[in-house]
Amino acid sequence: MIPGSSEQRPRPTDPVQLSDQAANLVQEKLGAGEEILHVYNTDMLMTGQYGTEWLVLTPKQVMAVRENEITALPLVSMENISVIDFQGNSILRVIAEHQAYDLVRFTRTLANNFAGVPLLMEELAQRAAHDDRVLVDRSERWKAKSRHTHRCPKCGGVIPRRHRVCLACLNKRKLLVRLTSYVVPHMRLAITASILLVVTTVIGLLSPLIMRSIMDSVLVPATQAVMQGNEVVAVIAEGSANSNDILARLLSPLAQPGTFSLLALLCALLFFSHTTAAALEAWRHFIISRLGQVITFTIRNHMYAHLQKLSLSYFTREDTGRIMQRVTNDVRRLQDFLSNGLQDVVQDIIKLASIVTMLLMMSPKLTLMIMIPTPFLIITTIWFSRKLRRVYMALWKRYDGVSSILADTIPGMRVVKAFAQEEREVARFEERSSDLLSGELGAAKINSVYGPLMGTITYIPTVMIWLLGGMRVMDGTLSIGDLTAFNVYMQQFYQPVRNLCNLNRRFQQTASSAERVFDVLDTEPEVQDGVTLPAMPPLKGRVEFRNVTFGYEPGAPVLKNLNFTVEPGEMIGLAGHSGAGKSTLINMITAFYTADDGTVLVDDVDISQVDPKSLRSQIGVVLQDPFLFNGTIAANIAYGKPDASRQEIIAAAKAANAHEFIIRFPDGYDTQVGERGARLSGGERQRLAIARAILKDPKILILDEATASVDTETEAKIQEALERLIHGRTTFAIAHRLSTLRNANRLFILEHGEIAEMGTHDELINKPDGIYARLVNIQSELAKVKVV
Amino acid sequence: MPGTTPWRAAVNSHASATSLATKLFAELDAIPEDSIEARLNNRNELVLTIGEDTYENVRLIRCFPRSDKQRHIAVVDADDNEIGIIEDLAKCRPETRQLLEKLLDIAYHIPQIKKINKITMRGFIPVWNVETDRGHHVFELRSRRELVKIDDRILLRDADGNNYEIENYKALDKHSRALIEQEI
Repeated sequence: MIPGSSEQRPRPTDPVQLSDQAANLVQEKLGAGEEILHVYNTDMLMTGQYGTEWLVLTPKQVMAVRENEITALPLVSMENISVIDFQGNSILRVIAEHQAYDLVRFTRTLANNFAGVPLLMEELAQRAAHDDRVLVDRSERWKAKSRHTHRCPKCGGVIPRRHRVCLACLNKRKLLVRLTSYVVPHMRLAITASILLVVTTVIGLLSPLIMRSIMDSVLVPATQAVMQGNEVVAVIAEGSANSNDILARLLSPLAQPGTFSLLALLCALLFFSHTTAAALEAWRHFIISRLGQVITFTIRNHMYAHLQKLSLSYFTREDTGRIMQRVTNDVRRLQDFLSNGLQDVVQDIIKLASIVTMLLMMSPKLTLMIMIPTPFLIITTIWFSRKLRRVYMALWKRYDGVSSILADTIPGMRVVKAFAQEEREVARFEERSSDLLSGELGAAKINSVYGPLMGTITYIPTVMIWLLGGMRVMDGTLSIGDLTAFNVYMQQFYQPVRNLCNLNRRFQQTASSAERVFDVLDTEPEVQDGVTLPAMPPLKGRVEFRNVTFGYEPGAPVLKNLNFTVEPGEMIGLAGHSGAGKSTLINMITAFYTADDGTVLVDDVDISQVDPKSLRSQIGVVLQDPFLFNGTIAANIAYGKPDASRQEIIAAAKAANAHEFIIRFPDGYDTQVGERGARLSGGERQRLAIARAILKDPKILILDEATASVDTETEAKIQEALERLIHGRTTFAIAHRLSTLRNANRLFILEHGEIAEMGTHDELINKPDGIYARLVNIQSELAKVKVV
Repeated sequence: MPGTTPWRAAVNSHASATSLATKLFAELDAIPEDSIEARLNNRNELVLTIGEDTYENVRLIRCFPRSDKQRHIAVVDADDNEIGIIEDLAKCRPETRQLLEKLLDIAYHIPQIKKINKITMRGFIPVWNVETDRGHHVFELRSRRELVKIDDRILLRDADGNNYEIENYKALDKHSRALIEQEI
């Protein structure tokens, strides 16, 4: 490839096309009537150099096409097809007739394009073997499921880190219209604010006019009269006063031009107009703040209510911090836009338009001439703000470097001193610090230039007004008052121009915030509004998995084709290595995730067809680190049954072996547990969670590592409580400490998403080479060590 | 298990350690480079023969993928159990070394940037137009903060998770260096 030839990075969504040479190679390999089904292009060669090769799929063959070379393999011969991921690139490897072939190699950029290829090839191979099969292309579904990408699903462009939405695909106008729709219910407030806005802006523009009147109708006639030694009235009669001066003419019944009373009147008017504008501005500000707050309130509550309706998989997919940021920061930014941003824009436009009109009315020629520097001003403003942003970004990074050293070493001072590394830390700090210094100096340079330069540019019109305007005053075509008003207007002219230069950036930020907020609001809730699924009838406790397959990511099923039935009252122990799929299995029973294939049945009802809330209200869960809410112990026990009586709460606590430690607290059941139960120990929290489950009296019980993080004595107490709880309920218990599963009716040993062993403790322990037997052995070895 | 295989016993007796850590390393981890034979089986998996022992389907992991690519290569089996560490690829037999380097090159695809043609901003996204040791390339970052500077070395990660490296930015040509210095 010629250096610098391709401007655009090839995007995953780009259309695929075979080169002529490659197409010829493929043609030679095609059989009669065989057509090309899919073509995938790569972005690197097998050698590791950048370039393009192709993967071609037909109903019968797969072909890897390179420059001058083609590898074609019949699909029926495939024994294994997989994408093997490495750092920065992946290989599609197939094994055909005991021989591996590395077909194509591609970078991470195309990873999603190839994610579904092995599945698709398997389907094609099966269809090639049995002609009657209908092709189900599941690869698209995997692709849709994959979220490990920072590219826009629509255009394939990169999504900027800070924005997290594709700015190219944002329909900004639509977003802003939708945003504005939140204003509609508060139309009266909005209209009042807008009227006030126009009035204050117009009043604000009056003062230069008043100043003009002072000049033309008071000061000039008076000074001329003094110089000529005449009466002022005579001068007026000569017509030297500005005939354009509407204000003076309006006031003429009250005071004559050139008199002190007119001066006093005009000054009073000046003062009055300013105070009125200020008072109205204060009123408008209050209305706008109120409007903004009311709207924020609506959006925030709307969002929180919607979040509660979303499925758990949304929360595992999205980072908690980001969701919280959306509820707080993004909503606040919207408020700022709705209340200040919109009005600022309107205000700036009104101001600019009326200033230009005023100036044109006074002197069109002069106005056009002094507008000449405006484009320069706009260009420099935009150029400088870009430059400044760049510099400050770099500066910010260096600041980060310095503060990260501080954050590192100050809390770690003990270690620094213990290893006698003070001098090295000082040297390290000085290096970063000097980086920062040079950055600061660079920024200071630009900043120092910025102010004076902008000042100079905006000063040019002032000079021009004095020069050109002065000439006009001298030849009598412009009054001194006009000249003064011109000057004052020009000073007011540049601020709105500068604001409007930054408008695009402001809009963009708001649009991306709006997109993030609406993204939450538009995420489909677990149960569609309006759609009512039937409630789960009271449970007996029978659970059945029929061919259940589920995965979080494409090509990596966590549960593979599970089949089992659990009778009411049975206790099932789940064991296996971490990552074997134990927790996922449990989350399928509570309908937190929906099976990709197959069905989960409770009491012979497909749980995807009932209201998940009604199902969960009948299932009890005790987790490894139970989550307590900030509140009293009693409230936490009664979380699943808020109307429980005090006796019920005490009875549940007793059954959970929690009563004795609860009454030892000075506040007993009214003890505040602190945020997330911080004031309680792990074992205490655990027993509260068990009491919570006992109070709820569920027919199905789930214990996820319920005794993992407590000492032996506490464990015995919890174990005793659990046995009381388990009695008569269908129970699924996950445990790493296998001794806790001894009472289970059956044990399921999971391995790589499949049930590798199933049976009672006694059956499994005696199985030679069994996974369970091995795990138990290792644990009893460890136990012996502990005893020693 | 350490110390049970014949090649380990051989290492143990030769360990002439200077510090405690070096001694422990030689005893527990080091694989004698000259005793390694490498080949691919017909499933394209790496098979290592170390002295008398043969290990099927092993994987190579660089302990210092950023700062030392030729040394400290961990060898693990299919279940991620470590077999040992190859101290220095350069000490391996030439044909072994050639194969291992080829596999490492696939496992760690990190193009070296040799020249920067330009860095443009498309909206908020920096687009880098560069020449690498793998040819001309254009890539996009998610923001202007995606580069890490370790002394004079610069590491980049693009929007798709591909890594790039500039070994020593001060050794680049003047134009490239000026572009880089605006970004760090």
